[in-house]
Amino acid sequence: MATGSGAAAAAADAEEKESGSRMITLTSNEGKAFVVTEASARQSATIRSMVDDGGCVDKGFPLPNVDSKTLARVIQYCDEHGNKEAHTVDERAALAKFDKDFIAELDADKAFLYDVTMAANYLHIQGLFALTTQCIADTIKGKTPEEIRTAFGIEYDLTAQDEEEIKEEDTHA
Amino acid sequence: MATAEALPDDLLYEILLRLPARSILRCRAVCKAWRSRTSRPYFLRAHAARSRKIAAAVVDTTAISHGQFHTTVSIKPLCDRDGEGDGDSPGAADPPRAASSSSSSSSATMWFDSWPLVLGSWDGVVCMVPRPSASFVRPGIDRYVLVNPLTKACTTVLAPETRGIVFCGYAHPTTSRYHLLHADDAYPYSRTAAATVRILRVGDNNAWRRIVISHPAGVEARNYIRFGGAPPVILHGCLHWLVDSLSARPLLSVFDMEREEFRLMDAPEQWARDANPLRMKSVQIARRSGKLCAFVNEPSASALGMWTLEDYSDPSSWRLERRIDYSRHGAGSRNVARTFRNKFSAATTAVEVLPDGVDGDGGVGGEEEIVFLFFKQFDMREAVYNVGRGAWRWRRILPPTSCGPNVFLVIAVATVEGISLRLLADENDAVIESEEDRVGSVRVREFSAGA
Repeated sequence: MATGSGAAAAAADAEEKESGSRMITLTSNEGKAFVVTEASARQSATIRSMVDDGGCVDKGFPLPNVDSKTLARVIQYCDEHGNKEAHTVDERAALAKFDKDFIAELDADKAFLYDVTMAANYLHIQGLFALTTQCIADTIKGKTPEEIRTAFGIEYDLTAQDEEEIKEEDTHA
Repeated sequence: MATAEALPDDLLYEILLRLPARSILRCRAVCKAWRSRTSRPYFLRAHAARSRKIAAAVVDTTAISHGQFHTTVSIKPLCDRDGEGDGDSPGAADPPRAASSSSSSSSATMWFDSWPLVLGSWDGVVCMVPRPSASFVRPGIDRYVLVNPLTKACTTVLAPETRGIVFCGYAHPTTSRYHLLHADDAYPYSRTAAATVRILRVGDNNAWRRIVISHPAGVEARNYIRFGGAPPVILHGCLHWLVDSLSARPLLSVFDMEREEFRLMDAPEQWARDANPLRMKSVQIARRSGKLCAFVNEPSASALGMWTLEDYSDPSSWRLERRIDYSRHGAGSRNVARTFRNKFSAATTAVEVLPDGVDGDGGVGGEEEIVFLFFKQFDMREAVYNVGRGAWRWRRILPPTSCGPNVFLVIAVATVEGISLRLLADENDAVIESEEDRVGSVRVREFSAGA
């Protein structure tokens, strides 16, 4: 990394540490409270904008769309990305490894993966959202239409005309 | 607990966006809802915007007998290994059917009565001249053959009754109808075209329309668009070329696809070569984060200046963002430096900026990379620059089997847009008139009135 941008990053870091020293409470729809660092909470654009708007930092943030199990997993991701540095090659590699293990574990439990994806979408956690949607996309990737229907519980409702068109499209696919 | 059916629409949209083009085709056969989702133009455009724009069109011609030439046209994604290309590798999860058909999946076979000349490939459509033997200009060219290797759709287009040559084609940004641009004055020796331009909407009965070009006073009336090089940069519904201009100012030529108008756009004076103001430095343009950007070679500094047009409506807002050093770095460094010093130019280098990197579809920590593809060279490699780490590497882009004495390699825009074109063709039957024979072997017939 160039020295110039390094210094700028360091300054940004110092700023972030200062604001990141506060703790924020997130409450699941089951009423369970999770206390996280502000740096961790700021991974979520939704919470970030509420904090910056001078919202109820002290009272905490109720999240009526997220259950405790999902929130715990989301926080696990935010802690890793919010509280750790990612400036050196090694640090980045460590984060990449975390992401890989994190998503591999989720991938094994599809229903939970969808929950986490929806939570990431609701909380606007960009990195987590990209990670989970790509993971779901990867499961679609190698599948035939029939396998996709099975995996997603979709009913076949295509008309004869659709089928005719698909046959034409499919001569090479 | 969520089940897959409960995934909201906007979420499914995001997931489908992340699929490679070939998988999108399979998703279209899942159900009505998925079919309509993946058919909407905004989805197809968003999908195309995420994917690599540049692919290689490989045209392989074999002489069978006198007057019989067998030509295979395929568009190959630029990848490390055969078949890996768009990320849809025939891996363990893939049924063998897909693996076996993947190599032939995007090729069209045609028969010609003479050795066809390949003019270029734009928006997934390869443009060829069936009988180039007589003379390059006029009366040599009487028709053009267009083929979309993905759809195997093929059509012939009569050349206008003038001199000149087709120098570009594009799919219209809103209608997706395929258009051709023809320059009346073309200079095959320097491979430049003056912008006395005719336009044809393919399927419109060969009705070429003339585009009147009005330049502001004081600007050289003719501007020269380079053809046969990298495809133009598409941004804000316009095509952008660097101009080989006789005027002293570095210029871009801009064609508005919606309004069908050409205009010139000023470029920074620093792009002019100091000693010789009539010539520009070696510059190539590209698109980066929704902005026009330019790479200006500075061989004395062993660096490329990376410029960004901050405000598209203000040509004075070009800023030198950084200098990319190509002399100091790791393994293979001398090779990169030598290649850039000697070979970098608008005519020989296609540049593409990939926000998530070349292998970005892994989804983990994608880093911005800039790809420099030297396509006049036949070693099928591209130089990749990682913006964050400032590191260079070389990358093989086509398997060695793609090369051969009969193979003509052209750089095409967008495999994916080729697919988009085809999908849109369902609703818009005249994107490219299709021959009856869809099986894959298309005989290019002599074009006659009413054919």
